[in-house]
Amino acid sequence: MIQSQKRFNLFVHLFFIVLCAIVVVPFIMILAASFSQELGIIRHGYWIWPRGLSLDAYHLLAKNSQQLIRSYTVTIITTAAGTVLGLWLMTTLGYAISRRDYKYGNGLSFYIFFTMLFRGGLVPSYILVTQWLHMKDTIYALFVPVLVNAFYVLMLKGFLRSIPDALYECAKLDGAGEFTIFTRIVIPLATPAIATVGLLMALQFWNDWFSSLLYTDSPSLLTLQAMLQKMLTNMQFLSVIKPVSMSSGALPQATFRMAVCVVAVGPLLLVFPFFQRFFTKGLTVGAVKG
Amino acid sequence: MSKHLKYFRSSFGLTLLALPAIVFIFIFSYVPLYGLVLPFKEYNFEKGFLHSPWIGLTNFEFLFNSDLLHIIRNTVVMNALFISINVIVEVAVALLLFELGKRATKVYQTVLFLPFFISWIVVSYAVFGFLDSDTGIVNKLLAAFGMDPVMFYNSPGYWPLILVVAHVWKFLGYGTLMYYAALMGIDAEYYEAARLDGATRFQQAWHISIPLIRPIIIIMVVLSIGNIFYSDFGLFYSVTQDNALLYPTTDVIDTYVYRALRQLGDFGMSSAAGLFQSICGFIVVVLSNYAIGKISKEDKLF
Amino acid sequence: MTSKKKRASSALLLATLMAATAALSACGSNNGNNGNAANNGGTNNAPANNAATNAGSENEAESTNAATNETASAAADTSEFVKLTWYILAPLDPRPNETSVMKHLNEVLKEKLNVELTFKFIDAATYAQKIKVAAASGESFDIFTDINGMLGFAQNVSSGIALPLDDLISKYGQDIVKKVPEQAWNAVTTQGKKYGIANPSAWVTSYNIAYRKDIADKYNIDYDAIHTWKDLEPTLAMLKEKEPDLVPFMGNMNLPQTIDSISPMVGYSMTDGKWESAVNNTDWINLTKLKADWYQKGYLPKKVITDATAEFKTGRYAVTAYHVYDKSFVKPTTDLGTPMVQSLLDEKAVVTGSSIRTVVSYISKTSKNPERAMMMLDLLYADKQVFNEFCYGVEGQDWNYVSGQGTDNPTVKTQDQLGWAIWHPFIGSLWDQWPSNWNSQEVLDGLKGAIDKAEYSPFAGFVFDSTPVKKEMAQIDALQAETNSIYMSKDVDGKIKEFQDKANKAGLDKVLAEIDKQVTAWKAANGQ
Repeated sequence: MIQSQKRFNLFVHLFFIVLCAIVVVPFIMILAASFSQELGIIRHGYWIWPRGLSLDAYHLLAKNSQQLIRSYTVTIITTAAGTVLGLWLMTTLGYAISRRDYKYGNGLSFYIFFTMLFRGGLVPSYILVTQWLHMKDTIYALFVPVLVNAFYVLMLKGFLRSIPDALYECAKLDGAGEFTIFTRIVIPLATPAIATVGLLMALQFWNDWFSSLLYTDSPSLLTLQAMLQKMLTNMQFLSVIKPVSMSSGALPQATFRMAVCVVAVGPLLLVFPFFQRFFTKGLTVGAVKG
Repeated sequence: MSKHLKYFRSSFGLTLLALPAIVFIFIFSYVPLYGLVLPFKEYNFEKGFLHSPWIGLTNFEFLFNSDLLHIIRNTVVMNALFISINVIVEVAVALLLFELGKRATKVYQTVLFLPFFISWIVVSYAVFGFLDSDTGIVNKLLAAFGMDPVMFYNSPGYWPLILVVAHVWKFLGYGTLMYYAALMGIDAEYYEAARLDGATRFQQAWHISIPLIRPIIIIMVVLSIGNIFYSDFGLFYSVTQDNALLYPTTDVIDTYVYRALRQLGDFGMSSAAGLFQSICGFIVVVLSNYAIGKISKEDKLF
Repeated sequence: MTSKKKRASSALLLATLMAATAALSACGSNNGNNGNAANNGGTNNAPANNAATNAGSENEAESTNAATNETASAAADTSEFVKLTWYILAPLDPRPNETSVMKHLNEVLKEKLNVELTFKFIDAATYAQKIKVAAASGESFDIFTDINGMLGFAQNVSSGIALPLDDLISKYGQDIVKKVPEQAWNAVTTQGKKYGIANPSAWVTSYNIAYRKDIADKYNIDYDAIHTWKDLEPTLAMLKEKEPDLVPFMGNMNLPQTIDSISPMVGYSMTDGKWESAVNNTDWINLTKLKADWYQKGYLPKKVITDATAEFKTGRYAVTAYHVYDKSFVKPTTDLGTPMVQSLLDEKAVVTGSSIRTVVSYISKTSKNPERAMMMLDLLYADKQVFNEFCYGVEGQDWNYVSGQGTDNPTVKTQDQLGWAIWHPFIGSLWDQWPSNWNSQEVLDGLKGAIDKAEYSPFAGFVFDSTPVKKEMAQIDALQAETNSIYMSKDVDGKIKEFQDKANKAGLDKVLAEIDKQVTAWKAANGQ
């Protein structure tokens, strides 16, 4: 029995090592390319090892180091604030509609789902944010409009459904109010689920470039991804308008793209373990009951 | 009437808890909905939403032409492939991950998540690095085995497979994480009881894990079905390098709309396309929700 | 106990977050307030300005502006200090010297026009969207620039963003009138009103063939004698035979410039003398057949090329096409990363409406100070020194004189690492550019000479409003991408026929009828 379990585990590990290798090969290609010489890539193609070592792409990024630091700061603040506030809003709503004894649950689920498919579009949102809420060129524009994500609310509903109703009834009999039930029972029991959604929210804020480009003008509010996005598109544009301007021949386009990617992925290695702390097996219903 | 009032009062605590989020959704998602008149108007910036003239369904017309049937087919078929293959692969990987110790899981999860961070544009260069007929890694391997190079970028036939692989690769970590979190929420007592009864791991997965994460699986699938008429523009545009030779299998609604309106830049027409996609998705979701309700009332989304 | 501690710490975290947010937003909203203040100021100023304008037109004797007074433009009262906002495509990112350059420029502007200018640099990816959304929501800004038709002239007029400029130009824009050719105004005039300023730029492209120098030398290719695609054919055949590892030709084989197009798929063909779709055009059909022939013979790459410049740098190709002719061969050599030589294609060059509209400056209908905005634009045409400082930046910091300092046309050189740049035609006339390492006098002369020799399309002043047939236009435009690879088909004639049918099915007839209708009306209005 134990023997077979060991063999099974070994097999599963082997499977994951192969899978991870497959997943990671393209990424190694990207990493290698970011350290390559531009012409090396063009001549010989992408490879898992740098084609002629060069730091040109990173130098180009570092040229803008002041902005890079500012952008990191804005991004970290919006990510943190957006994730914490968003999680509170979404978990409360997700919890309410997950309760089988809550009659408005279905109606509210539809109310939420509807917004996933039907949106008013860019112009009404822009008018709302800039003219009615006066958030243009403020940090609020970067996270307030997207605090509640319908998809994640419905997902939380699914997660929270696995908490047995009996628990809530017991708590009620003990005289606990809804707020107490939520903070004392739901949050501890649903930690892995909340952490998951928190991670996804954090990624959403981290990756967002569009709100920054749309709602802000001042460089102090340019998020990291928006800044990288701008540098990339302008570099592409440089090669289009050549006839009336300078030569773009010397710009390390291909390698720069890859360096941008590396810079954007880097923080993942810091963020991930933080959320993974909450992925604990064994936080069981039994533990709470006892 | 009084019964309703009574229920409202007794559930007031729960409503109050959810109220901030409900208000939030109302402000940021329902207030801008007046923009849905845009597809039916000839929009003029000076006149605004209220005073621009109504033009009926004119803005929708460019979506309909018998030559465009394959575009709708490509959109729906590719999305159906993505949804079904993703769900199977992700649930399977999550179940396997669940079997392992904490430390190993952390490492694997982190690695599997890497691709989620990479934009489609960069993915398109990685794909090119594999598939280019001169410098691509795949063709170099083929040559090493004495086989003829394959002109991937001239052959639409390969692309459904290539796109599915790219899609699974990018979203594997994301989906797996969600199913894994759902597995985390399962009471360990179930497994203990099953082990005492001598259930094998496969039996445990089949009879405990999958049924208990079913609500999440259903929600994920139904919500993706809502977007079945939308297509991931970055995937279909960048990864194929907008290559016209590949259109027979890779042209989808969003890439078509982009091409058709690049010159015209008409707000009304692009929002008409969006509304059309939403309405189709909405119908499909309502139908599938109804069907789910027939099978198991418990799992209905709303 | 632990849970309590946890909660306390998370409450602390939340508090810290909120504090940090508030701190950052404080500076953010300060900016916002400044903006508002400026806007409010603008609103308050508006009546005063109108009064000023009236006063100005009554009393022409007083002149405060040294740059624009030469031509007896209506004297403008610039005593009120105003702020202007200009939406423009970011020519360079990052711009580390932006703050210092703008400080310098605004000192000049304060003195000359009593204005402070803010450029809002937007990148290409969100350009059209951001300007349209800002305009649609009624946001106030003064000047915006359309490049390569990203916004579209007809759309700017029909959607109501662009302000008619006739009065402003006649009062404050005389220096612009002097430098923009008469025909170019037609391209930005519709319904009898001028809606923009077409900045003089390279309105025709000199297509040419570029050869790798090592190959040209090795086989003694007499490139000076090659001026048509047909002339090139024997060379390609020879290369195919003698250089089996190279693909003889790779690059865009452009159509002769005989089409005045209103969309990539529909235009007026000067060869055929009528309005038609691209797939019915004789020149296009001939070129496609030639390409198909070369493709079958192996002169062209088998695979689809998406980035021709990058692809050429791989060194697998011998000959390519290039879009600027430089007698000294410097430009193609830098761009393609290997020594190149060129021969000019002997093709008729035509200036068309859309080529004139490569860069158009507009004043927004939401502008609170359109007079001052026009003075701003005029200054860039009137004063070469200011204009070039706008483009190159601050002397000593961003660029230095090479020769001719103090003259009207010195030669300059910018730093290798650019900290600031605006491409000249974005804000004024390319021909006012001081020669530099960007464009030598020779290249500029070459570009200008090509325009002087070029013919103007009879429809250069015709602006088509596609609103009545937008469904058909959308469906026809969508076909364009696929027509580029028709030459790869084994049955070219069949493929061409297929796309002609597709265009007809998408409603080509209706589009042509609408064009006919609008052309007739246009001709009548212009007394032709």
